[in-house]
Amino acid sequence: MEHLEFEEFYQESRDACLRAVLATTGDRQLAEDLVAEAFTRAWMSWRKVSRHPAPHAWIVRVALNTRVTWWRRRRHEVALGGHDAVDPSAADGADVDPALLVALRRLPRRQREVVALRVFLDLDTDTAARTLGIAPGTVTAHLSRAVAALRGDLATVNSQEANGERQ
Amino acid sequence: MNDNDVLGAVRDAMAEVHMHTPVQELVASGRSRRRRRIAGTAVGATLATGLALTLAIDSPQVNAPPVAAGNQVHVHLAAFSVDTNPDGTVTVKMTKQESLDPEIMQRTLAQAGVPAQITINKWCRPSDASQDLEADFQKVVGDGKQPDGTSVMVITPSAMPPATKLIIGMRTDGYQPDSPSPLAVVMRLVPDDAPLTCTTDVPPKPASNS
Repeated sequence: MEHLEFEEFYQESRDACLRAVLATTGDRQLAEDLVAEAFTRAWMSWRKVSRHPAPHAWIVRVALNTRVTWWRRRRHEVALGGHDAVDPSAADGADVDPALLVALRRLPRRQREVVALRVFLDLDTDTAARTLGIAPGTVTAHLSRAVAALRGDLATVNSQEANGERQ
Repeated sequence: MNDNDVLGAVRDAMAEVHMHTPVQELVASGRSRRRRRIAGTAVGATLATGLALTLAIDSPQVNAPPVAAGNQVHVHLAAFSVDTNPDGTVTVKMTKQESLDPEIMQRTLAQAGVPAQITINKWCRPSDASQDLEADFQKVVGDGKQPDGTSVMVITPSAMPPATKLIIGMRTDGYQPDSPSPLAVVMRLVPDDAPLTCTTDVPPKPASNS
Protein backbone atom coordinates (compact mmCIF):
# COMPACT_ATOMS: atom_id res chain seq x y z
CA MET A 1 0.00 0.00 0.00
CA GLU A 2 2.75 2.39 1.01
CA HIS A 3 4.71 1.43 -2.07
CA LEU A 4 1.71 2.19 -4.28
CA GLU A 5 1.26 5.56 -2.62
CA PHE A 6 4.91 6.40 -3.15
CA GLU A 7 4.80 5.29 -6.78
CA GLU A 8 1.73 7.42 -7.38
CA PHE A 9 3.39 10.42 -5.74
CA TYR A 10 6.50 9.87 -7.87
CA GLN A 11 4.54 9.66 -11.13
CA GLU A 12 2.55 12.78 -10.29
CA SER A 13 5.31 15.06 -9.05
CA ARG A 14 8.60 13.90 -10.58
CA ASP A 15 8.54 16.20 -13.63
CA ALA A 16 7.60 19.29 -11.62
CA CYS A 17 10.34 18.57 -9.08
CA LEU A 18 12.88 18.01 -11.86
CA ARG A 19 11.94 21.29 -13.55
CA ALA A 20 12.20 23.16 -10.24
CA VAL A 21 15.64 21.74 -9.50
CA LEU A 22 16.78 22.27 -13.09
CA ALA A 23 15.68 25.91 -12.90
CA THR A 24 17.89 26.30 -9.82
CA THR A 25 20.95 24.28 -10.87
CA GLY A 26 20.92 24.93 -14.63
CA ASP A 27 22.38 21.45 -15.20
CA ARG A 28 20.04 18.82 -16.69
CA GLN A 29 21.91 15.67 -15.67
CA LEU A 30 22.80 17.00 -12.21
CA ALA A 31 19.15 17.94 -11.65
CA GLU A 32 17.97 14.43 -12.57
CA ASP A 33 20.57 12.88 -10.23
CA LEU A 34 19.62 15.19 -7.35
CA VAL A 35 15.90 14.60 -7.75
CA ALA A 36 16.41 10.82 -7.97
CA GLU A 37 18.47 11.00 -4.77
CA ALA A 38 15.76 13.04 -3.02
CA PHE A 39 13.01 10.61 -4.09
CA THR A 40 15.12 7.69 -2.86
CA ARG A 41 15.40 9.38 0.55
CA ALA A 42 11.65 10.05 0.45
CA TRP A 43 10.99 6.35 -0.16
CA MET A 44 13.19 5.47 2.82
CA SER A 45 11.25 7.89 5.07
CA TRP A 46 7.92 7.62 3.30
CA ARG A 47 5.80 7.45 6.47
CA LYS A 48 7.13 10.84 7.51
CA VAL A 49 7.33 12.44 4.07
CA SER A 50 3.80 11.35 3.13
CA ARG A 51 2.48 13.37 6.09
CA HIS A 52 4.44 16.49 5.06
CA PRO A 53 2.10 19.35 4.09
CA ALA A 54 3.92 19.75 0.75
CA PRO A 55 5.87 16.57 -0.04
CA HIS A 56 6.98 17.81 -3.47
CA ALA A 57 8.52 20.86 -1.73
CA TRP A 58 10.29 18.40 0.62
CA ILE A 59 11.77 16.68 -2.45
CA VAL A 60 13.04 19.93 -3.94
CA ARG A 61 14.42 21.12 -0.60
CA VAL A 62 16.32 17.85 -0.06
CA ALA A 63 17.60 17.88 -3.66
CA LEU A 64 18.92 21.42 -3.23
CA ASN A 65 20.51 20.63 0.14
CA THR A 66 22.22 17.65 -1.46
CA ARG A 67 23.38 20.00 -4.19
CA VAL A 68 25.18 22.15 -1.62
CA THR A 69 27.27 19.17 -0.48
CA TRP A 70 27.98 17.89 -3.99
CA TRP A 71 28.84 21.35 -5.24
CA ARG A 72 31.30 21.95 -2.43
CA ARG A 73 33.02 18.63 -3.12
CA ARG A 74 33.13 19.27 -6.84
CA ARG A 75 34.40 22.82 -6.40
CA HIS A 76 37.25 21.55 -4.24
CA GLU A 77 38.18 18.82 -6.69
CA VAL A 78 37.93 21.20 -9.64
CA ALA A 79 40.14 23.76 -7.89
CA LEU A 80 42.80 21.10 -7.31
CA GLY A 81 42.69 20.23 -11.00
CA GLY A 82 43.27 23.86 -11.96
CA HIS A 83 39.88 24.46 -13.54
CA ASP A 84 37.63 27.06 -11.99
CA ALA A 85 34.59 27.06 -14.23
CA VAL A 86 32.02 24.49 -15.21
CA ASP A 87 31.66 24.17 -18.97
CA PRO A 88 28.31 25.86 -19.67
CA SER A 89 27.75 23.88 -22.86
CA ALA A 90 27.81 20.66 -20.85
CA ALA A 91 25.07 21.92 -18.57
CA ASP A 92 22.31 22.35 -21.14
CA GLY A 93 19.78 19.65 -21.79
CA ALA A 94 18.39 18.92 -25.23
CA ASP A 95 14.82 19.14 -23.92
CA VAL A 96 14.99 22.66 -22.54
CA ASP A 97 15.31 26.06 -24.16
CA PRO A 98 19.01 27.03 -23.69
CA ALA A 99 18.14 30.76 -23.72
CA LEU A 100 15.98 30.26 -20.66
CA LEU A 101 18.71 28.39 -18.80
CA VAL A 102 21.13 31.21 -19.58
CA ALA A 103 18.61 33.77 -18.29
CA LEU A 104 17.98 31.74 -15.13
CA ARG A 105 21.71 31.31 -14.51
CA ARG A 106 22.10 35.07 -14.48
CA LEU A 107 19.75 35.32 -11.47
CA PRO A 108 21.13 35.08 -7.92
CA ARG A 109 20.59 31.64 -6.39
CA ARG A 110 17.80 32.69 -4.04
CA GLN A 111 15.83 34.29 -6.88
CA ARG A 112 16.17 31.08 -8.92
CA GLU A 113 14.88 29.05 -5.96
CA VAL A 114 11.87 31.33 -5.53
CA VAL A 115 11.02 31.11 -9.25
CA ALA A 116 11.40 27.33 -9.11
CA LEU A 117 9.03 26.91 -6.17
CA ARG A 118 6.42 29.42 -7.33
CA VAL A 119 6.36 28.47 -11.02
CA PHE A 120 7.01 24.73 -11.12
CA LEU A 121 5.62 23.59 -7.77
CA ASP A 122 2.92 26.25 -7.73
CA LEU A 123 3.56 26.94 -4.04
CA ASP A 124 1.94 29.96 -2.44
CA THR A 125 4.13 32.64 -0.90
CA ASP A 126 3.89 31.33 2.67
CA THR A 127 4.74 27.71 1.75
CA ALA A 128 7.63 28.86 -0.45
CA ALA A 129 8.88 31.00 2.44
CA ARG A 130 8.71 28.07 4.88
CA THR A 131 10.48 25.79 2.41
CA LEU A 132 13.34 28.24 1.94
CA GLY A 133 13.45 29.38 5.57
CA ILE A 134 12.95 33.05 4.71
CA ALA A 135 10.21 35.62 5.32
CA PRO A 136 7.16 35.76 2.99
CA GLY A 137 8.01 39.38 2.17
CA THR A 138 11.47 38.28 1.04
CA VAL A 139 9.90 35.70 -1.29
CA THR A 140 7.77 38.42 -2.86
CA ALA A 141 10.75 40.73 -3.25
CA HIS A 142 12.92 38.00 -4.82
CA LEU A 143 10.14 37.00 -7.23
CA SER A 144 9.59 40.59 -8.27
CA ARG A 145 13.30 41.14 -8.98
CA ALA A 146 13.57 37.81 -10.80
CA VAL A 147 10.58 38.58 -13.03
CA ALA A 148 12.00 42.01 -13.89
CA ALA A 149 15.37 40.49 -14.84
CA LEU A 150 13.80 37.62 -16.81
CA ARG A 151 11.49 40.01 -18.66
CA GLY A 152 14.53 41.93 -19.93
CA ASP A 153 16.38 38.78 -20.97
CA LEU A 154 13.40 37.10 -22.61
CA ALA A 155 12.46 40.30 -24.48
CA THR A 156 16.02 40.47 -25.85
CA VAL A 157 15.83 36.85 -27.02
CA ASN A 158 12.44 37.43 -28.67
CA SER A 159 13.70 40.54 -30.40
CA GLN A 160 16.82 38.72 -31.69
CA GLU A 161 14.66 35.87 -32.98
CA ALA A 162 12.33 38.33 -34.75
CA ASN A 163 15.30 40.08 -36.39
CA GLY A 164 16.70 36.71 -37.48
CA GLU A 165 13.41 35.78 -39.14
CA ARG A 166 13.27 39.12 -41.03
CA GLN A 167 16.84 38.74 -42.44
CA MET B 1 5.13 41.17 -21.18
CA ASN B 2 3.33 41.29 -17.84
CA ASP B 3 4.45 39.21 -14.83
CA ASN B 4 2.19 36.28 -15.71
CA ASP B 5 3.50 36.23 -19.29
CA VAL B 6 7.09 36.06 -18.03
CA LEU B 7 6.38 33.25 -15.58
CA GLY B 8 4.28 31.47 -18.22
CA ALA B 9 7.19 31.67 -20.67
CA VAL B 10 9.49 30.13 -18.05
CA ARG B 11 6.96 27.34 -17.43
CA ASP B 12 6.46 26.67 -21.15
CA ALA B 13 10.18 26.53 -21.84
CA MET B 14 10.50 23.56 -19.48
CA ALA B 15 7.38 21.73 -20.68
CA GLU B 16 9.38 19.03 -22.46
CA VAL B 17 11.60 18.28 -19.46
CA HIS B 18 10.73 14.85 -18.08
CA MET B 19 12.27 12.66 -15.39
CA HIS B 20 13.49 9.41 -16.94
CA THR B 21 14.60 7.49 -13.85
CA PRO B 22 12.22 4.52 -13.33
CA VAL B 23 10.60 4.26 -9.91
CA GLN B 24 11.92 0.69 -9.56
CA GLU B 25 15.47 2.05 -9.64
CA LEU B 26 14.77 4.42 -6.73
CA VAL B 27 13.06 1.73 -4.68
CA ALA B 28 15.91 -0.74 -5.32
CA SER B 29 18.46 1.89 -4.24
CA GLY B 30 16.42 2.70 -1.12
CA ARG B 31 16.10 -0.99 -0.18
CA SER B 32 19.81 -1.55 -0.65
CA ARG B 33 20.66 1.43 1.59
CA ARG B 34 18.21 0.26 4.22
CA ARG B 35 19.91 -3.16 4.30
CA ARG B 36 23.37 -1.53 4.58
CA ARG B 37 22.13 0.74 7.35
CA ILE B 38 20.78 -2.18 9.38
CA ALA B 39 24.04 -4.12 8.86
CA GLY B 40 26.07 -0.99 9.74
CA THR B 41 24.12 -0.45 12.94
CA ALA B 42 24.83 -4.00 14.05
CA VAL B 43 28.55 -3.68 13.25
CA GLY B 44 28.67 -0.24 14.92
CA ALA B 45 27.09 -1.60 18.09
CA THR B 46 29.65 -4.44 18.15
CA LEU B 47 32.55 -2.01 17.62
CA ALA B 48 31.24 0.34 20.31
CA THR B 49 31.00 -2.55 22.76
CA GLY B 50 34.53 -3.61 21.80
CA LEU B 51 35.89 -0.10 22.29
CA ALA B 52 34.18 0.24 25.66
CA LEU B 53 35.68 -3.09 26.78
CA THR B 54 39.15 -2.04 25.52
CA LEU B 55 38.92 1.21 27.43
CA ALA B 56 37.79 -0.54 30.58
CA ILE B 57 40.61 -3.11 30.39
CA ASP B 58 43.51 -0.98 29.11
CA SER B 59 42.95 2.40 30.71
CA PRO B 60 44.15 2.92 34.26
CA GLN B 61 41.99 6.05 34.54
CA VAL B 62 38.26 5.72 34.01
CA ASN B 63 37.96 9.04 32.16
CA ALA B 64 41.10 8.79 30.04
CA PRO B 65 40.74 9.15 26.25
CA PRO B 66 41.49 6.10 24.10
CA VAL B 67 45.13 6.94 23.27
CA ALA B 68 47.31 9.60 24.87
CA ALA B 69 51.06 9.87 25.49
CA GLY B 70 52.48 12.67 27.63
CA ASN B 71 51.15 16.04 26.47
CA GLN B 72 50.78 14.73 22.95
CA VAL B 73 47.40 13.43 21.84
CA HIS B 74 46.98 11.37 18.69
CA VAL B 75 43.59 9.73 18.70
CA HIS B 76 42.24 8.28 15.46
CA LEU B 77 38.76 6.76 15.51
CA ALA B 78 36.29 6.05 12.73
CA ALA B 79 34.19 9.09 13.57
CA PHE B 80 36.94 11.64 14.29
CA SER B 81 40.63 12.19 14.95
CA VAL B 82 42.44 14.60 17.27
CA ASP B 83 46.16 15.40 16.89
CA THR B 84 48.25 17.86 18.84
CA ASN B 85 50.78 19.67 16.63
CA PRO B 86 54.32 20.83 17.50
CA ASP B 87 53.21 24.51 17.35
CA GLY B 88 50.65 23.95 20.11
CA THR B 89 47.63 23.83 17.83
CA VAL B 90 45.23 20.89 17.72
CA THR B 91 43.93 19.42 14.46
CA VAL B 92 40.47 17.87 14.62
CA LYS B 93 39.01 15.89 11.73
CA MET B 94 35.41 14.77 11.62
CA THR B 95 33.91 12.16 9.32
CA LYS B 96 30.22 12.84 9.16
CA GLN B 97 29.24 9.43 7.85
CA GLU B 98 30.24 7.71 11.08
CA SER B 99 28.32 7.99 14.29
CA LEU B 100 30.21 10.01 16.86
CA ASP B 101 30.24 9.55 20.63
CA PRO B 102 30.27 13.11 21.98
CA GLU B 103 31.62 12.08 25.38
CA ILE B 104 34.67 10.35 23.92
CA MET B 105 35.41 13.32 21.67
CA GLN B 106 34.91 15.73 24.55
CA ARG B 107 37.37 13.83 26.76
CA THR B 108 39.89 13.58 23.93
CA LEU B 109 39.74 17.31 23.28
CA ALA B 110 40.11 18.02 27.00
CA GLN B 111 43.26 15.87 27.03
CA ALA B 112 44.56 17.97 24.11
CA GLY B 113 43.91 21.15 26.11
CA VAL B 114 40.62 22.12 24.48
CA PRO B 115 37.68 22.38 26.89
CA ALA B 116 34.58 21.64 24.85
CA GLN B 117 30.95 20.69 25.15
CA ILE B 118 29.70 18.58 22.25
CA THR B 119 26.09 17.88 21.35
CA ILE B 120 24.60 15.84 18.53
CA ASN B 121 21.55 17.22 16.73
CA LYS B 122 21.20 19.82 19.46
CA TRP B 123 22.54 23.34 19.23
CA CYS B 124 23.18 25.72 22.12
CA ARG B 125 23.90 29.40 22.38
CA PRO B 126 24.50 31.59 25.42
CA SER B 127 21.23 32.92 26.79
CA ASP B 128 22.96 36.29 27.06
CA ALA B 129 24.20 37.15 23.53
CA SER B 130 27.06 39.22 24.96
CA GLN B 131 28.59 35.93 26.20
CA ASP B 132 29.02 34.71 22.62
CA LEU B 133 32.75 35.49 22.33
CA GLU B 134 32.85 35.72 18.55
CA ALA B 135 35.95 37.93 18.24
CA ASP B 136 37.99 35.50 20.36
CA PHE B 137 36.46 32.54 18.50
CA GLN B 138 37.98 33.77 15.22
CA LYS B 139 41.45 33.55 16.82
CA VAL B 140 40.78 30.11 18.31
CA VAL B 141 39.31 28.13 15.40
CA GLY B 142 40.35 27.88 11.78
CA ASP B 143 38.58 25.38 9.56
CA GLY B 144 38.66 23.80 6.16
CA LYS B 145 37.72 20.72 4.23
CA GLN B 146 39.89 18.02 2.72
CA PRO B 147 39.35 16.78 -0.85
CA ASP B 148 37.61 13.66 0.43
CA GLY B 149 34.96 15.81 2.13
CA THR B 150 36.33 15.37 5.66
CA SER B 151 35.92 18.45 7.87
CA VAL B 152 39.13 19.73 9.44
CA MET B 153 39.49 22.25 12.27
CA VAL B 154 42.70 23.70 13.61
CA ILE B 155 42.19 24.89 17.19
CA THR B 156 44.64 27.13 19.04
CA PRO B 157 44.04 26.40 22.75
CA SER B 158 46.43 29.19 23.85
CA ALA B 159 44.11 31.75 22.19
CA MET B 160 41.18 30.70 24.38
CA PRO B 161 40.58 33.21 27.19
CA PRO B 162 40.75 31.68 30.69
CA ALA B 163 37.58 29.92 31.89
CA THR B 164 36.04 29.55 28.45
CA LYS B 165 34.97 26.52 26.43
CA LEU B 166 33.94 25.68 22.90
CA ILE B 167 30.37 24.53 22.40
CA ILE B 168 30.02 22.39 19.30
CA GLY B 169 26.69 21.25 17.87
CA MET B 170 26.85 18.59 15.15
CA ARG B 171 24.24 17.38 12.68
CA THR B 172 24.22 13.72 11.71
CA ASP B 173 23.57 12.65 8.12
CA GLY B 174 19.88 12.56 7.42
CA TYR B 175 18.85 14.68 10.42
CA GLN B 176 16.07 17.07 9.36
CA PRO B 177 16.92 16.58 5.66
CA ASP B 178 14.22 19.04 4.62
CA SER B 179 15.56 21.83 6.79
CA PRO B 180 16.37 24.88 4.67
CA SER B 181 19.65 25.16 6.57
CA PRO B 182 22.66 23.40 5.05
CA LEU B 183 24.69 23.76 8.28
CA ALA B 184 26.42 20.60 9.56
CA VAL B 185 28.48 21.90 12.49
CA VAL B 186 27.97 25.06 14.55
CA MET B 187 30.61 26.21 17.05
CA ARG B 188 30.78 29.02 19.59
CA LEU B 189 33.17 30.15 22.28
CA VAL B 190 31.52 30.94 25.61
CA PRO B 191 32.46 31.42 29.28
CA ASP B 192 32.46 28.15 31.27
CA ASP B 193 29.52 29.16 33.40
CA ALA B 194 27.40 30.84 30.71
CA PRO B 195 23.75 29.76 30.88
CA LEU B 196 22.83 28.16 27.54
CA THR B 197 19.64 27.99 25.51
CA CYS B 198 19.43 24.90 23.30
CA THR B 199 17.28 23.74 20.39
CA THR B 200 16.97 20.54 18.36
CA ASP B 201 16.12 22.48 15.19
CA VAL B 202 19.06 22.98 12.82
CA PRO B 203 20.04 26.65 13.17
CA PRO B 204 19.45 28.79 10.07
CA LYS B 205 22.40 29.69 7.91
CA PRO B 206 23.46 33.31 8.51
CA ALA B 207 21.79 35.63 5.97
CA SER B 208 23.69 36.33 2.75
CA ASN B 209 23.02 38.61 -0.20
CA SER B 210 22.43 35.88 -2.75
